Amino acid sequence: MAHDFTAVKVLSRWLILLAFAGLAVGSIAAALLAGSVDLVWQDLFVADRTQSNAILFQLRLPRALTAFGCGALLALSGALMQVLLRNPLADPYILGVSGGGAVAALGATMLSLASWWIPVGAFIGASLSTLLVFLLAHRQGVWSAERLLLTGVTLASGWGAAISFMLSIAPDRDLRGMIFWLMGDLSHGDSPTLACGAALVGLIVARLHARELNLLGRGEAAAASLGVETRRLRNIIFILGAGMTAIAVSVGGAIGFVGLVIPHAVRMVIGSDHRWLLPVSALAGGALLVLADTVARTAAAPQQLPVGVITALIGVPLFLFLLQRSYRRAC
Amino acid sequence: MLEVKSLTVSVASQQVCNNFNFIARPGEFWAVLGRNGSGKTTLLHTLAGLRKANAGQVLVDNKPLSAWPRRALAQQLGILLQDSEDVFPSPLLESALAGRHAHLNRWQEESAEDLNITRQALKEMELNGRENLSTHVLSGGERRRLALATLFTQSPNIMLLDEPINHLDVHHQVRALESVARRVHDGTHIALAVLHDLNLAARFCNRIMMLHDDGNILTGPTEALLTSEQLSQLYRHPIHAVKTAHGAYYVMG
Repeated sequence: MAHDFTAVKVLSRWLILLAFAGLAVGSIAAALLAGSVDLVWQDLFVADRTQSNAILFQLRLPRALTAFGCGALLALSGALMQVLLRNPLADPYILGVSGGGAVAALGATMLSLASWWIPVGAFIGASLSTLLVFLLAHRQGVWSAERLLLTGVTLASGWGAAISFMLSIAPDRDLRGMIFWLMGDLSHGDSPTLACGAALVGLIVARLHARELNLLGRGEAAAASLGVETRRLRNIIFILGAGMTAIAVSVGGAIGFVGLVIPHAVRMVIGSDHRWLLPVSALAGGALLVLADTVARTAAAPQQLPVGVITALIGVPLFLFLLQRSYRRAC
Repeated sequence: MLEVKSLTVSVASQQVCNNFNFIARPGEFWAVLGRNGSGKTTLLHTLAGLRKANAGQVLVDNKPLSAWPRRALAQQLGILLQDSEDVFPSPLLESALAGRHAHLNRWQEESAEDLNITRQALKEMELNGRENLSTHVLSGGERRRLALATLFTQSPNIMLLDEPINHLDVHHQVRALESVARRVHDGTHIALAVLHDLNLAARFCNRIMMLHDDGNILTGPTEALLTSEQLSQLYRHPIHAVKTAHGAYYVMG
């Protein structure tokens, strides 16, 4: 009996992982079928209907996969930041990564640079901001979660002020695009290889450190005494988390909510063991963003809504429901 | 073997130790005594390699701490910290299983053997039957017992215990120290425990380390140091040793 408990537990976790994989596939199928040209599921398997083929494989599939990759990147990065900062309120943007990206992306828009400058600028801005936080928080050698958090939050609010300033002086023609970028927008999202590839690499690297991440959640000293090289681990998580965020931001703008809420929701379902939390978060984050983006481009068609609005509209009630349920269970 | 060579440690303005030399051998159960703020925790953290000494060396099996990779060190030396703080709750069994981390490489998963060791440790701390319970519903004493069980799961030869019986009821105080003493008296383990209960220290420990506020540390066998004069001087409070047929009892004045 006592031994069955773990076997049952492992089995149930595999089932949950499979269920989320199913959800991810389902969300991508839904994204392929929904849109201004209605397709039915048979179209997915027909090779020679050229128009639907073009819509499917040149428009909808790349966009769905881009959304999936971005969602996975944000969810993974959120899970990493929460354990790095030992703070359940942490999200991928808490260290100012998105702020730096936003300032650069908006700057590129205002200077009317070629459109490819927006993602490239966002990536450079996010990386510079990350580097700045890293250097400032690292200066005296001691590296406390609080100091890292305060450094990041302060820098983020600085970027926030810079963003407000840029919005207030921006010409009207740029304003709409800038606001969409800030709310998160996948309508230019055509980097499925980058987003999904980065998410896969990030997941593999993070998963290799999953057991150490579990220990880091107990605090610096506890983790070290249980055999973790904490300094090395923190550096890896920091660079990995920030790097994934920078890529997500450069592809889809500052899409909110996914990175904060998905890790929490997944923890309620599968527990806080990162060996399971990480892959399930990646699948759940990806699926949520694919669904949200599908709604964003179909709900008010031909008008496109910013995907960040929809992630919140779907995510907030879902998360509140899970939170209520977990409280009831605990009582 | 745990060896300390001319160790100097100070924190803020407090001198914890100055040119301190010390050797602990298997079979020795040390009680670390001292007033609040005398640096007991700081000293233990230094011995565990969690903070740097101002000068001097700590050696585990004749090798300085700095030369030990963390994982290899964790197989030899473990510390029970004063507080445990887990941001994300997990079931008891999983939480205690973390003690096996140092015994697994990056690619390994916990084996049935690891689970057995963990269950055994939980049983020893009378937490069996609650493996599935979440850590955030535990009481202070239960959390302490879980931390002890995790240390036993880690099973290092050198155990540093920072107030191991804090929050425990009398039964579990004795039970916890018995568990440590059983390992030490096998002649395989070393334990250093910060204690404030002199009677339990007298009952379980065969060595005493006294941290005076001025950074002076006295070490020696229990009979030599657990005297009314030494204790009264250490705590700056009158303490009487009442001799009985079952040994001495300590009563605060």
